[in-house]
Order: sequence, then C-alpha cells, then structure tokens
Amino acid sequence: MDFEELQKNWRSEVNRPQGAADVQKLLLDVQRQCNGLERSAHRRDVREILEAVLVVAFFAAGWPIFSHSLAASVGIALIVLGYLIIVLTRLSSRRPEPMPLDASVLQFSRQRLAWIDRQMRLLTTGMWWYATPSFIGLPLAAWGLTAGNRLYFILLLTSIVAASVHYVYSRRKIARNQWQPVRDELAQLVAALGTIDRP
Amino acid sequence: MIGKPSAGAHCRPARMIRISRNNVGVASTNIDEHVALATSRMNDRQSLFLGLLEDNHGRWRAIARSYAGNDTEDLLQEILMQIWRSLDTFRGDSASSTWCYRVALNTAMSWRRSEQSRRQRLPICDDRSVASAPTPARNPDCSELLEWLMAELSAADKAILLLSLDNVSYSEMAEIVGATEGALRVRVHRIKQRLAQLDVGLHDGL
Repeated sequence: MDFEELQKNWRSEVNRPQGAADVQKLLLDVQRQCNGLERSAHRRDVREILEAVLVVAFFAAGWPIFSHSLAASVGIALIVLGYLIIVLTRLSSRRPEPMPLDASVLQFSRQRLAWIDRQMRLLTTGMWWYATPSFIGLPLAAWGLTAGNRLYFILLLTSIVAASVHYVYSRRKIARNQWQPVRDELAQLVAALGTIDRP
Repeated sequence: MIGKPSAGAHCRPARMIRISRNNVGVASTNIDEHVALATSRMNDRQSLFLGLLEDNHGRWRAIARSYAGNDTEDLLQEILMQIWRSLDTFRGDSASSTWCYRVALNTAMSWRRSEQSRRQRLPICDDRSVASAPTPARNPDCSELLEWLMAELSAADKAILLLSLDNVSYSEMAEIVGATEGALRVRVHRIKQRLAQLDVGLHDGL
C-alpha cells in the first residue's frame, strides 16, 4: 500500500456527502452547546461572587466578637481582603484574550506554551502574593481571639501552618502532574516546528 | 438606534423622559431596527457556518478520527464548537480552507493534549485510550495503516501528514503550519519513507 492509495482513501472519506438535515441538526447542536457553556460559566461566576458575599457577611456578623481585640480585627480584615483578592483574580483570569485558534499551528502552540508557563508560575510561586494576606491575617486573628492564651494560640497556629504547607504542596503537585506533561509535549511540538527548517 | 445616547440626546431630556405615544413608537422602531440587525448578523453567522460545514464536514470528521480514534464524535463536536465561536475572527484574509484547517488542527491538537493529561490522572484507564497505538494486522486496510502511522508520528508530523493526504499545496500548508515550503517538502518525503518502511515491515510479519 503506498501513499497514493492512502490519499485516495482519505479523499473519499473527506468528500462523503453530508445530508442537509444533518447539517441543520449539527448547527442546532453547536448553538445549544455554546449556550450551555456560556450559561455554566455564568453560573460559576455568580456562585463565586455569592461565596465572597457570604464570607464577608459571616465576618461582618461576627464583628462584635472580634472587635474587642485590635489584633483580631486587623487579622479578620486581612482575611477578608485576601479572600476578595482571590475571587477578583479568579474572575478576571476567566476573561482571557480569546484563543487565537485561527493562527498557524506554530504561532498557536507558542502562545499556548506561554499561557501554560504563566499558569504554572502562578501555581508554584503566585501563592506568595495570592494568599499572603490570609496567612498573615489568620495568626493575627488567632492571637486576638485566644486573648493571649498560649496553648490555644499554638494549636491554632500549628493548624494554620499545616494548612499552608498543604496548600503550597498541593499547588506544586498540580503544576507537576497536570501541567508539566502538557507543557513538555507542547514544547516538543514548538521545537519540532521551529527547527523544522534545520537538517 | 439603541445603545449609547448621542450628544444631542442629552440636550433634549424632556423629550426623552416623557413617554408619549409618539416616543413609544420611535423607541419601538429603534428596537425593531436593533433586533433586525442582530437577526441579520445571526443569520449571516449561521449561513457562513453552514457553508463551511457543508464544504468541510467530511474533512473535520477525518481529522477528528485521526486524532481521537474512538472518541471521534467528542472531538468533532469540539471542533464544530470552536469553529462557531471563532467565526468572528474569520475576516477573509486567508482562504476559508486555510482558516478551517488552522482552527480544526489547533483544536484537535489541544484536545488530544488535554485528553492525554486527563487520562493520566485517572486511577483506572479505560480501554479507549487515545494514546495507544492500534494492534497492526498482517494485511491492514487503509484506515488501519493510517491509524498506525498516526500513532508512530510526532504531533507536528501528524498535522503535516493529514494536510498532504488532503492534497493541500505546499504554500497553503506553510500558511497553516507556520513552517517554510522547503522544510515541509523534506518532512513529507520523510513521512512517505516511514510509511513505506511500515508497509514492508507489516508484509514481512514485522
């Protein structure tokens, strides 16, 4: 079997006629799916905004308890601020420039590679600015709420440190296991297409 | 037209605020124009999509089958969706076939990468793996041979093979892939050599 035979087979598959009714059905399916996608993205945005509102409302309701201590007040304010930063960052990152799918394969792959690198950087190092307000706010709030009781404070601080370590570790694990293989393959593709001219 | 009020509109607040029978009529006309324009745009979009679909459906299906194997329908749906969503970027700067190939190939390659990544994360992989090469038969038919050849090739070569199977000219292929014509000629030659080796290997019992 040679290349011409493969080509003939391919052409016959490509030129297979498509019924008019099928084409209309495909159009309706595509429109339905795109609408569904937009609706679910909108629902997710609304859910996250509601979560933010609930967190703020929770701490606002408990303000009489926290407000007797300056440390607790500052700590809680930092936690709320940190949470709002996280929500705003997530919502704004959902509106990236549209994927340039009509670019050449090489251009598109380069842009995707740059995008993946940004995501991985955010996952591995971004937490220092992303979660810092909460990491400072939590010990402060713990200190204020335990009213200087060392045992409670140490217990709370240990839990906070453990949660922070888990957070950092899980972000790095996601970057390593989920993003790195995709990145490697894409880098290989870009290298193959970019050096295609070399012998 | 509905939308941003014109500068003149700010100078006539009373007329804008008071909803007389006449104003309702004017507003209604504007809304009708707006709806008509939106409908006409949607119809243009639909007819453009239907035109592309009629010309390229077989091609997109073949590309989806080459990249997704058993998951052809899933990838075909994804390609159709991305074509629909990218229609706004279709400006006619390049031939419609070039534009369609670019969107279809970029979507197929992205889909395959994310599908492989998703399957790697699954604790138990099902037997419909997109990454696995099919078992070669002694005398494979065209589809089997193509499937095996596709599994052997790198992502870049896969795209080049599909384009050369479809008899796309080297200049158009260069526009789609983003490499030079000379380099693509060399690459196609190597792929043909690989196909010949594979064919001989299969007939000699591997």
